[in-house]
Amino acid sequence: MELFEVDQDSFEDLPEFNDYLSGQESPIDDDLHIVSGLSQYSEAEFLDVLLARGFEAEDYGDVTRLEKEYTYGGDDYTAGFYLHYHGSENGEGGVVLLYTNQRKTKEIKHTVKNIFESEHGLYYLHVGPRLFQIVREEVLQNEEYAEIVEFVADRSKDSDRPSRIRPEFKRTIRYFGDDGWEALREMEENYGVRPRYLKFNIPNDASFKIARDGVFSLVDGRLSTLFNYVQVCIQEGMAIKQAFDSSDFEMVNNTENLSIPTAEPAVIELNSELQYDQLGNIKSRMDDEDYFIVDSFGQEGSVHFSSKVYDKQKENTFRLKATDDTIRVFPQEEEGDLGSFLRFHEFVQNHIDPGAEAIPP
Amino acid sequence: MPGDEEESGENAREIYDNVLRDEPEWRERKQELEDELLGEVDGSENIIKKKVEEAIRTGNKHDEMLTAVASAFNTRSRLTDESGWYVMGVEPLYEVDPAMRNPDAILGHSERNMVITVECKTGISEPQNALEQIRGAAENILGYSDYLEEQTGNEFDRVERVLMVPGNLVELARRAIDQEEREREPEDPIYLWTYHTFNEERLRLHRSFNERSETRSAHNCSLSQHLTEDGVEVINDPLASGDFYPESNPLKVLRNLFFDIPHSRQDSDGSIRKFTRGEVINIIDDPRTMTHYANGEIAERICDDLLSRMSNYNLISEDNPEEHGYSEDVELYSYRPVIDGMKADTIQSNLVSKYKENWISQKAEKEAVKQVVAQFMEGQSGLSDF
Repeated sequence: MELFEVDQDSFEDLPEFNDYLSGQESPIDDDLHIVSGLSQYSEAEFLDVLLARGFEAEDYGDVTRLEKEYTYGGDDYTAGFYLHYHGSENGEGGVVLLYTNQRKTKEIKHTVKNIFESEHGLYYLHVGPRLFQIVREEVLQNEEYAEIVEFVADRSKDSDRPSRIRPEFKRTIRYFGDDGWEALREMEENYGVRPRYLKFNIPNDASFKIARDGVFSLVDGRLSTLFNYVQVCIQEGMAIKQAFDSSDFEMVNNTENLSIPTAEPAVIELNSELQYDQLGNIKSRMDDEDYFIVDSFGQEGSVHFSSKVYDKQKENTFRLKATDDTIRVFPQEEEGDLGSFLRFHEFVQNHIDPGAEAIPP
Repeated sequence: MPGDEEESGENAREIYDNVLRDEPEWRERKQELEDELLGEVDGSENIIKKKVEEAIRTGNKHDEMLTAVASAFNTRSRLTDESGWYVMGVEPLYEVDPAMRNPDAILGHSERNMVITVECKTGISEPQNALEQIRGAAENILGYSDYLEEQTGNEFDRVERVLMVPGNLVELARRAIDQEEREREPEDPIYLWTYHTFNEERLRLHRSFNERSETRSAHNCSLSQHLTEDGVEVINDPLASGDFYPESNPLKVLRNLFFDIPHSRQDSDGSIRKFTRGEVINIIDDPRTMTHYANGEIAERICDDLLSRMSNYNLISEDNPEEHGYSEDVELYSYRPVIDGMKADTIQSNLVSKYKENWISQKAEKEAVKQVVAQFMEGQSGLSDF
């Protein structure tokens, strides 16, 4: 499946591009996917990362057309995207939006999704349980006749999420039905699952999906409606990025001969109290999720836990300090890794506390 | 002190070897005792493992306290900004003699001819000994003031002494200090700081004693006003922490070093299952790894101690460097087959696990030897009654 073509040479800004895609002359016949991510790099640096990974870029004003040929499983593919990069207000990094009509399980997964997961300084915009709840509430508030008509929700083995029915089981539920609002709530309460994706239908307006891995898909209707909720998610993502931006690492010279590594943390506030007896389970899940605990110390009383951790996926080391209501993440290099922090933030929401929230300064 | 323990161990070994020469049946008794100590006999518990794990915990807890001091008193902290006091040295004089009594940290001030020694104690089983230790350490600091001035750039001729304990030990510490005040009326008081980690991470100066006034219990400087009342919330300051300190427990040193070493080889041409003595020293010498003003001097000592134990436990062996492309003066080591793994985390996990196993085993053997000697001597004194 080839990337859709545009017959305009340049787009002045994202609204113009969105309008073009929504207009009468829209080149899109299938689902439109917007793959979103957060970057600690500038646009130029982000493009350099893509070019180093074999992409070719073509300038379309405020949008860049990207293409990459690759082979997978003996088959040749050409992945293509239209990139819009939105810089942060503080000038550090920004939001990446990649538009495509290609396949989530092939071109998207094998290229940009892989880059977000493995590259230093990048991560997809994770839509966790808390953000899904925010989006649901926004949709309910703004769209009188909106329905959730399809969803996939899952539960991992040994999950701590409350579940009335057989909590010891790992499960995935795929649901189709116009009573999705109620069904999702019932599944969450009874089976302790959390959304992997939700499909909303707003009659005579739009039908779209929002997925946990930051992929927004327009199935039918108005792109502008979907984009409202893309922006809700971006806002939350930027708040997490701000928490990361407030962290730092610096070697300080207390005396001429005594140099001490110091670090300011990014703070994740927990919604439910962390108990000492959870720590064993948490360490084991960290191991499952490709973290290696180099060294750690834990103390009962109220929780006092500190650790040096190696993120195997992002190849990044950081320190943690946890109390019963916060987890502090300390970078260990002058240039921290936003991608590693976002991945750990996702881990906290998925495996420790779904209501956990990174707090900007 | 560690030196005394080693000496008594060596004496026991000598006696044991002599006993075995004449009465070899004691070897069996030693094995029985060893099995009991390791919980391998019905009804027995592995008390050696418990002791080793407790020693590791205590060591790590001590390091947490020391890190709290470093975090509260570095040039980025609010307390240093407001009071002017900063950490000049962590475990000072370790490089001169590791067995010398030394404080855990010394704090200095650019406008004062005084330093503050801080001794962190996770437990006070012998309170008067602890206070004696603090005074001895402070004397050594004064005795080496010229040397320390060269190392730290700070001139001083007076010392204030601090005992720092976790919040739950404040009563025990207070009673010890009161007893010293009552019995010896020392000219220079020992100040008491408490470290609280219940729902917070806080450092406070304790001023309420029976045998001395609040004034005498406060520092002769602005530090008192910052540390009294609510004290300082350390968790709000940048974390100041390398991987370990010179006196950290060896397992902590091993965990950190032997993750970094194979990890740094992962992307290089060298085999991940080998390393050189030089690599170990370079990593320890890096201030991101170990916090000390004399990193370079201490690095060799720590490296050699650790490699000697690892060799002794049969975890590593020396290789011919020239066969592997190194010059002949390079000390090259490999992990023995018992240390499985081709990734840094696997190698580290296996090393740590085997090191701990051997540590426990060796400790049990030494303890069994001591008990055999004690039982033998008891038997001897029984005979002499006749």
